[in-house]
Amino acid sequence: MIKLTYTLGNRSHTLLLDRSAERVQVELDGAVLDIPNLDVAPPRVTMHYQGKVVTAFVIQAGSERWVRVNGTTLVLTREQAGARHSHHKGQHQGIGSGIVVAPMPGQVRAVLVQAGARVTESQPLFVLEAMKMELKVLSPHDGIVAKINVIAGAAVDREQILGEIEQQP
Amino acid sequence: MIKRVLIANRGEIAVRIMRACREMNIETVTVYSDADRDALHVRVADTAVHIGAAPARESYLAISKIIEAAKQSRVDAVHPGYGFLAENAEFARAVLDAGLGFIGPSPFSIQAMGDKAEARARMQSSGVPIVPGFQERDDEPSLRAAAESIGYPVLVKAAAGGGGKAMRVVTDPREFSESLAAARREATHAFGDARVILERYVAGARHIEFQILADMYGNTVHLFERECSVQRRHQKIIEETPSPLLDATLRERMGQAAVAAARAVNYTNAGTVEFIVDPVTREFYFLEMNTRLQVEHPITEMLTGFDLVQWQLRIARGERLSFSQSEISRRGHAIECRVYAEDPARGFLPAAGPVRLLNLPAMPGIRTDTGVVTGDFVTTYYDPLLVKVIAHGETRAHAIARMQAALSDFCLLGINTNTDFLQAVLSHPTFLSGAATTNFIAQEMSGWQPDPPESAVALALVAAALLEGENIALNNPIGSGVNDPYSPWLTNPNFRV
Repeated sequence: MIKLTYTLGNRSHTLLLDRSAERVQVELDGAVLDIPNLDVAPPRVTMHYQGKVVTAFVIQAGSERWVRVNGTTLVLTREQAGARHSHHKGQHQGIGSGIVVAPMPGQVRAVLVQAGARVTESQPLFVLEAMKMELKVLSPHDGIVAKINVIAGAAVDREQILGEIEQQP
Repeated sequence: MIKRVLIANRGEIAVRIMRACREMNIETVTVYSDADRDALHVRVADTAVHIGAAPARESYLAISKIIEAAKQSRVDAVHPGYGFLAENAEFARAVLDAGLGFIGPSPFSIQAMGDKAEARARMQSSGVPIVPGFQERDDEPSLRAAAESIGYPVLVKAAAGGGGKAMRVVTDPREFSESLAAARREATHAFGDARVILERYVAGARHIEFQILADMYGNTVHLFERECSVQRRHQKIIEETPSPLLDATLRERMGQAAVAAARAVNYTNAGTVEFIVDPVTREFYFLEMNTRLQVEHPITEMLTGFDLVQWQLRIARGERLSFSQSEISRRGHAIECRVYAEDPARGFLPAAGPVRLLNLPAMPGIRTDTGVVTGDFVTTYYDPLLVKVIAHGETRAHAIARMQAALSDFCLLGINTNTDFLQAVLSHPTFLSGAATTNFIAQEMSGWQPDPPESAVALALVAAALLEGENIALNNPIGSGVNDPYSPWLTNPNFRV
């Protein structure tokens, strides 16, 4: 019996996997699925499910599991046993945190403010460019620019921290 | 004689052009930037020349570097593809000045259609209907007076523009000054030219274009229309032919107008005349002419049986069109879906990363034009278009059904794409009824979020669990998991659990 936990969006799913010679029994969120006759040939998994043959493709990338099944794409996150529920995405975006992250990967076209400057809510701070599209990254609230972490011309990943706006009391 | 061609482009279109060259025994030379060292278009080419750094202005937009590469590799002609320098008259002139052939129209035609004010004036005098508008003067009082007589809402557009950039809809006369200033700023930034024109804003319009082929002996034909109304941010995502809106009479009139538009600028080679059509009045207006090969050209190829890229090469080497207008026929219905690296659930923001798995559909009536394969890396430097899926069927319903089956089989994992969004559009009642306008995505698909059925979620979880390394190790005491080359899980695809 193997226990696995995945998250999809903000939902968490736990599976208990029990293999025998010809079938797999899965307990998923309390319900038991019985899956006979399956082929596993990575990245392909073929299952017999409720009388139908279903083929899924699965790719593992870090803790992410990209799955294509029945014409749907799902990106699951594998939770390590015992680990606290930690989610990379959105972790900096708490209300009032003042951390400014890149909403998309790309190049920094312009840094519009300097450290120490006073800014107002929604004031453009950075201009990012990706795939011929320009995007202005705005200040989350009024405050003082506490930190600028990037320079014009730099390449950034999605969710990378660009700077910080300190909220003035 | 054209024996060797340089393709000044990348991605799927460079690959597509090289395939046509190969079929004609023409050698191919491609160019590439630092970001594209291992790209598919480099691997498909006979010869590849490195031209510079990743940013396009230092490589794919650097005219002198491309000309240098062309001379160095002793090609006979240059194919510009679409985007980048394809509609740059200065580039076309530089190619000709280097003593090489340009696979496209003359610099004069590119210039004449590239300037929106000039193009409107030429169309008007050639009897091609244009959207009521104003392009005679550029000062604010004249523009404001013209806006009043055209009637609001009015569209302020960059004269040097295209591709939906530097375009503003003004609904309230009080916003005119501000919108004009913003459009000028964007126009200066995007095109280095602050001039604007005005057009009446046609709400709920359909975007319908005609494919043109013209040889160097005055023969100009059209290969029917493509409807491209399904757009997001002025970028097309689904195109089809024939248009569900046109009847025989309107098709005939628009086709004649498209040929007249091409003739008005002495057009040669392949080009596309874009119209907007008011679905209520069924009036059509010239929008612009794209003086190059179009992204969506494959649906015309599927419908008519002509290979447009081969004809570009044949026209450029001096051949005559071997057929007349009346000999061009259509068969069935064709649709194209563009698979982009983007996240439709987050405002279509671009995505980048590794293509960890790409399975292209192979089934009756399906063609795929791809710029990537499994193992490639998609950067943020260039266009987000990854793959075009094209379906041909006996009827519109048949083509849609084939496309739905193809997209269901389509599998690209590792980067966010719009695949699931395209599937949602294909099954939307407005699209199915053939009534989608250029506002369809913004009005009826906004806020779209993926909504996988519970059964798909369950199957995905089970499939993911079955592939976990620990699993394999636990059930296979001899092997040590996925890294074990002798694991029966890896070597025997028929191994049953």
